Amino acid sequence: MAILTLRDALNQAMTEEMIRDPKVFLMGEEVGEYNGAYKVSKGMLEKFGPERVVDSPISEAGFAGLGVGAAMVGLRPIIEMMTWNFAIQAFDQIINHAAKMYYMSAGQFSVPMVIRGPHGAARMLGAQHSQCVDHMIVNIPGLIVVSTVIPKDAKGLLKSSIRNNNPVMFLESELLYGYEGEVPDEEYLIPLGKGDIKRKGKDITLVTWNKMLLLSLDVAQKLWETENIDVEIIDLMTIQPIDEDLIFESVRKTHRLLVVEEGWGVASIGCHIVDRVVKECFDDLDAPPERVFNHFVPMPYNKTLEAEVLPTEARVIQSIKNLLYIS
Amino acid sequence: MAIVMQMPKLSDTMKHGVVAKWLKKEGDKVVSGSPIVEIETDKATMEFESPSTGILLKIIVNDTESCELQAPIAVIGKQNESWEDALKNFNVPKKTETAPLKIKESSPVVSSIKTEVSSSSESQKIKLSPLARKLAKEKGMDIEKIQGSGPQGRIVLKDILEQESTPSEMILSAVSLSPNKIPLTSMRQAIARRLTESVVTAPHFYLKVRINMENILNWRSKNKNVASLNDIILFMTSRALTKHKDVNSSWQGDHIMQYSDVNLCIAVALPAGLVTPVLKQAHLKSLSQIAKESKELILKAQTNKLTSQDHQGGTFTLSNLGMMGIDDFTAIINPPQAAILAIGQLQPLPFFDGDDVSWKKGITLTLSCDHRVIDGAIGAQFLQTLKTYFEDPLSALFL
Repeated sequence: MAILTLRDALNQAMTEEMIRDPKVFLMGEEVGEYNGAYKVSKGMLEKFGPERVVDSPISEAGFAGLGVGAAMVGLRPIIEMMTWNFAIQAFDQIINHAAKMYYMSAGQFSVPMVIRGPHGAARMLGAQHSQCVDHMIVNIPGLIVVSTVIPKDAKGLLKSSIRNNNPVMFLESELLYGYEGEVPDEEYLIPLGKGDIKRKGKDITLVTWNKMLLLSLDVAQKLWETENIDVEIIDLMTIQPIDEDLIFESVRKTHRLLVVEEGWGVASIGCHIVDRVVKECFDDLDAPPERVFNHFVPMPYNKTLEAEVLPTEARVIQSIKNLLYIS
Repeated sequence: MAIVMQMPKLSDTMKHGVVAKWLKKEGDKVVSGSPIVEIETDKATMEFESPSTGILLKIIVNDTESCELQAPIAVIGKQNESWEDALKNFNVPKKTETAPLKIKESSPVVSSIKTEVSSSSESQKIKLSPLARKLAKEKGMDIEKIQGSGPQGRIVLKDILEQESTPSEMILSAVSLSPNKIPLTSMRQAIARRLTESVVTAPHFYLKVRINMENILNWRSKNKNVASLNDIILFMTSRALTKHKDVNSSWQGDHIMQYSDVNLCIAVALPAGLVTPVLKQAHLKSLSQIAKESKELILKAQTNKLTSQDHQGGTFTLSNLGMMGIDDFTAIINPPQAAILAIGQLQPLPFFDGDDVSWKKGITLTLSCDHRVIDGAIGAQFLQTLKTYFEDPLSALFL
């Protein structure tokens, strides 16, 4: 197995799918001549030419709409957003057109399109460029939402997303494009809608995704070494639809649920998971479920404040101890 | 048969209704399906149709008056029909619906049962987690007998498991010859964890000193009710510690913390284990105050009433097994404190003066020290001070 960075794994996924299917093309700001704002599309212009690796104008609403139209007439666009913060410009295209086209055309038009890019805080980028959009877009029927930062998962999931006939929103993380991990040499796909247990444990179920997975793994390791607390970590990977059965099965074993999510905690994915678990696993719960999320403020620019607004190790540990009734 | 017209529920949020205006007068002819009254809800005023055809015999709720939903507002019937009878008939089923009220008034038995039920379901409500509730039900446990360890006494999984593994009398008699597996209580687990941590991480060494108690005993024989021997030991120790702050310290991993306040932990044996409640700021307290407070703390410990406050802030621990006939012993340090003083029994001990031996009533004190914090000489100096205080009590005042 090769060790690849997240950016290389994404590049491989797109390259392999473009070789496999001539209908697939990449479009976005700086994806061609500049090799991508974060170098995810490095070398692709050279390989596939300007017809299939298209530098777009700075107009998210415009090229997202172009993607919807191209998908409706049979192409399979991958739209790169420099960040999902900019994709907010394109929410009309995403929410009103991409998500609803299949339904409103009574199945005459499907939109096999992937919109991908980084989201969430990426260290001192200020309030407008540090947002988590996951809880905004999971609430739209018609969209599939994937959110991952592990190179192996990202590759397998992006390939599945490109082959899927629905609009798939693919959320990455700016800070982690250089994050390395093992990626199988042979071709593989990871199914959408399935989560993955990243750490087996027996004491509590911690559900998370994207870069909060890395924080959670660190905390789990620390608690295991210092306090003998055995945390089971579920990486959702696809956050719409979520792998409920995997969560229920784990909670029925540990009797405790913690959701660690980046982003604001009002009407969030964590809220939804807690709701489903309370409903389906009520008699298995030994403690009220806990959630850790951003403080409800626009992201401060200041480094110290930013670190405090995001979920911290201390808050995750406190929640775990609450769940275990350890004071 | 006359029909009683009720206040209709015209919106989901409507809690009561107001008759805005009757469109017909008493005695008027009304037709089923035609508007008869305007009802004001919380949202709007709506016309309401007559439920039957006949004469509007009686208006019960007048214009602008309000009433409960479903309450009678009018009676419609044939000419000369009695609206009173209709209303009486209407109210009969209503009364059975509110039966408990009626029974409560006339039957003291029922009402007392009712009170009992309501008090047990409200004031004595037992909190338990859903999982604990399910397990208790499955295992047929009486939740009233289980002590909850969660917030506000919530019974949680751990309590159910502990309760379950507590052997019942029947099981005990059946297996009296085989070894008895005793489940660990949380107190036992805490003792095991903390003392193992102490022995494994703190390099212990022990200093012993024999103390002539004749002077103290003389004083005490004149002031019998002031304090016990144990209280005097607490008092002297607190004074000696203010002089030796390097013993009144703790190990904090990357630094040593030295305390000005002397908060003495008193080891108290309980049937289920051991607790060490804290006598706070002992160095500022008189002997009689120390006697009073230590008595209170020990009583609280024995009756399981110690609060988390009573466990916090200890800087030094004393453990006394003298009353149990132990000559002397070495105690394990209560981490992160730097030392613990073990007190043996009062008994005749040999004291040497040159070659002369004399037997005096004395005790043996053993100081266990954490060498990371306290070196041998420091511990020895502390014990010297303590010895001086005991043998020459006046010096406690002046030295």
